Amino acid sequence: MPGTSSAGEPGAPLTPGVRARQKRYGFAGEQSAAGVASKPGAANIQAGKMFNMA
Amino acid sequence: MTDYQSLAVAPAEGGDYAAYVAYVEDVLGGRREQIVLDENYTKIVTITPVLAAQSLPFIDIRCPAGQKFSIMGSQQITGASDQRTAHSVRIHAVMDASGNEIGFGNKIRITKEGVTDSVTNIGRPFYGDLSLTKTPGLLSAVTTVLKTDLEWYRWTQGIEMNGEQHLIFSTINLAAGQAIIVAGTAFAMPIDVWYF
Repeated sequence: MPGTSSAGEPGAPLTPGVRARQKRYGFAGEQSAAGVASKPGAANIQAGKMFNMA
Repeated sequence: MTDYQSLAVAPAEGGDYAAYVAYVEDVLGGRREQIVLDENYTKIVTITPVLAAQSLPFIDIRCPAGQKFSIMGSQQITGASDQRTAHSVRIHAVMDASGNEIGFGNKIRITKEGVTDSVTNIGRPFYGDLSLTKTPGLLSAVTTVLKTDLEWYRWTQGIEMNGEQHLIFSTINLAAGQAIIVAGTAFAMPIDVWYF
């Protein structure tokens, strides 16, 4: 079905927009972000900078 | 769960707190717990006494390693009518055993500090801006008037604390004849805690 894929499934096509989002947020992995339990070191990622937080 | 792989529903950038929450939940995989932090969280909150004329921390809030604290600022709310939903803080700083409060004219320095002494200045409001009461005095006195929700101090800019960063409230040259003691000093501050 267009627009969906299983996270991390080998060979599964990436959905539209994944490349742009990886570029924007700096994630290099092939695996889609949705469905991932947590990113390694996520607690130390300065995510607030993207949202005008101190 | 929202499909954030699609650009059509990608988190909007530009400071919206709801977008920040969506980002941390769906991209970083965080789980949120909404709590009202106070002096009873003794593993992460330290209250220390301050004497007159001193410029020292009296409330120190530590974000544990592996977690994230986030605070919603009024700048991060798009609807003007919803500005007061931003996270607030109320402080009751006591200066003597009778429970009297420090003067409202004192300035309080709020900083976010990292383990390597990096310092981000958050603000320097009056103590009267941060106080729980509308007139300084005994919290237990019948005549003491508490601020209403509309009068509570709201954060302007959102704040994100990562592992082992501290949010520190310090005095600036505390007025003569005044002090802050630990017994009776209290505060309440809603925050979002993120677990990964």
